[in-house]
Amino acid sequence: MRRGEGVVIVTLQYSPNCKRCPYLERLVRRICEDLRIPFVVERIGSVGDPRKPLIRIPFVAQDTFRVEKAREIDPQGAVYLERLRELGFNPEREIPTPVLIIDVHKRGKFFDRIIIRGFDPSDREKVRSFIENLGSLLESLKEVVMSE
Amino acid sequence: MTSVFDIAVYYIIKSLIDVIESFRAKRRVRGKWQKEERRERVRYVPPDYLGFVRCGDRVRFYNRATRITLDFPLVGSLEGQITTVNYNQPTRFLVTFTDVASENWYETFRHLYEMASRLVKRGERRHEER
Repeated sequence: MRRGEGVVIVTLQYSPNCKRCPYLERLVRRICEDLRIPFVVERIGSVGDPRKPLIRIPFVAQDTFRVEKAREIDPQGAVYLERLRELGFNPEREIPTPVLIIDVHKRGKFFDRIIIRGFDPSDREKVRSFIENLGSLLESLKEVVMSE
Repeated sequence: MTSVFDIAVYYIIKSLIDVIESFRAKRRVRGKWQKEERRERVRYVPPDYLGFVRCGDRVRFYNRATRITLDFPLVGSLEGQITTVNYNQPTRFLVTFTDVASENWYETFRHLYEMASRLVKRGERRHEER
């Protein structure tokens, strides 16, 4: 990339076991195709590429399924996590999906990173407003990057 | 009573002093610029990095455990072994689905951006990613 140019890249951290991921993928792909923004789907967790270093994931998955953290928020959830661990399933290793990451490269440098966690397809109005806000955000980011 | 002569003398002396002051101010500004240039030449070392870094025309060894930084001039034979680091720390905004879906999403985003830029100006931001 030359100096003075910029680009916006959208990556989706995706796992096929998750039911919400393909729904979000369809929506975001449509926005990115309209705006001509590069869109990357990254498989993570047990399905992910083991050769890749796990640099991005720990920051996102910090203290998500940890028992100590769950006690502060929801004591009932901590009980379930302990029971799962007794059965032999360690939820601390699991990674919450989907995670949407927007990287902004400006003047040949990595400038900003916006991380959006979680997705709830049950509420349609929320999904609509989410898509509108995301689309306008990407559009404005692209304008800013291309103008400089 | 002030005569024409007095006024003329006053203006002549004032102009002379102004000229001297302008020279002094220019010298002060030049010194400040030189200091800033000197500061830019030695680059910032990322906190997770251990080892040799090339900073302009010198080499810096950085050890985080002992908090020792060592500068020494670059030798030609070492040039292949030393890595150059152009490290630019990006600003991170961690938000959730509900934040983006809410009506006042742009206000929260603007607030986050202002906070981040303020911290960058102060130089207080830490390395968040592990």
